[in-house]
Amino acid sequence: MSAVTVSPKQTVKDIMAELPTLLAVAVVEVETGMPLASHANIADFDIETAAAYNTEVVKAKLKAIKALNLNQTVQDILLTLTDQLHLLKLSPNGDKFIYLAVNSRDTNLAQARQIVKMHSGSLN
Amino acid sequence: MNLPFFNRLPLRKLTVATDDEMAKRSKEVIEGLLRDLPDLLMACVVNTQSGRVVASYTVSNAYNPNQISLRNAKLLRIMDEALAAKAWAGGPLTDISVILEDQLHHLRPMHNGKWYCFLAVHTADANLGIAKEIMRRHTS
Repeated sequence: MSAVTVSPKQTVKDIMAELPTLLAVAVVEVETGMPLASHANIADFDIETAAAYNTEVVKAKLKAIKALNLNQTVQDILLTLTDQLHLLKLSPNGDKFIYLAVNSRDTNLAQARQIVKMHSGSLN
Repeated sequence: MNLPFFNRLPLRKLTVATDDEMAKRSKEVIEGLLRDLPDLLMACVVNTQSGRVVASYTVSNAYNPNQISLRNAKLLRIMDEALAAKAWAGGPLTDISVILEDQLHHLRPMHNGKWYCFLAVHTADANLGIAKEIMRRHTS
């Protein structure tokens, strides 16, 4: 991981530049469930609500993993909807996550994971 | 009553809770998963509403289906609420995957979300694509 830290706003901009066909992208603070920076390419998309629900998903999933005492870190969480992929990737210290929604026709899972992985390391 | 003897987890054995239609179908699902992925760590079919484990298979005490069944059920309820609130502009949920350091967890709702099937495998034994495909084949 690089030591350089990038602001949430810049992270969103960078991801948009790399993946112009994305549906929505946001950097969300886990504590409050609010987006620190976001962008959506679809009109009727409420990013605030999405961020809040996604935070709950992350928390619920972390609890389930913790219950097993696996001592493993969660790399990323992937939600597959009928024609979309939603990817949630926690920052190294776990206080923020990147949320990326893409159309599964335009972008495959490997591409989406690669892009999110690249940016979550330097997120602060 | 909490008798440790009765709570001991049967290892490397398929356990089915009841004897009804649902349990029979769940047993088939897990048997199918085991056929295709003999090295799986844990598989279980759970009633989403109650969080009750209908059928399960596990290789070690560390993977106790009873410990995660309710939490995953809660996770699915949150997802349902999120979709109902139109938080995601997308169709119904197909599956959820979580990638850990050396293993992956895959969760797929079945029977219109009334049950869900959970699968944990080492990434050395199967990749996400294989896990997804095998799960899709056996639960649909």
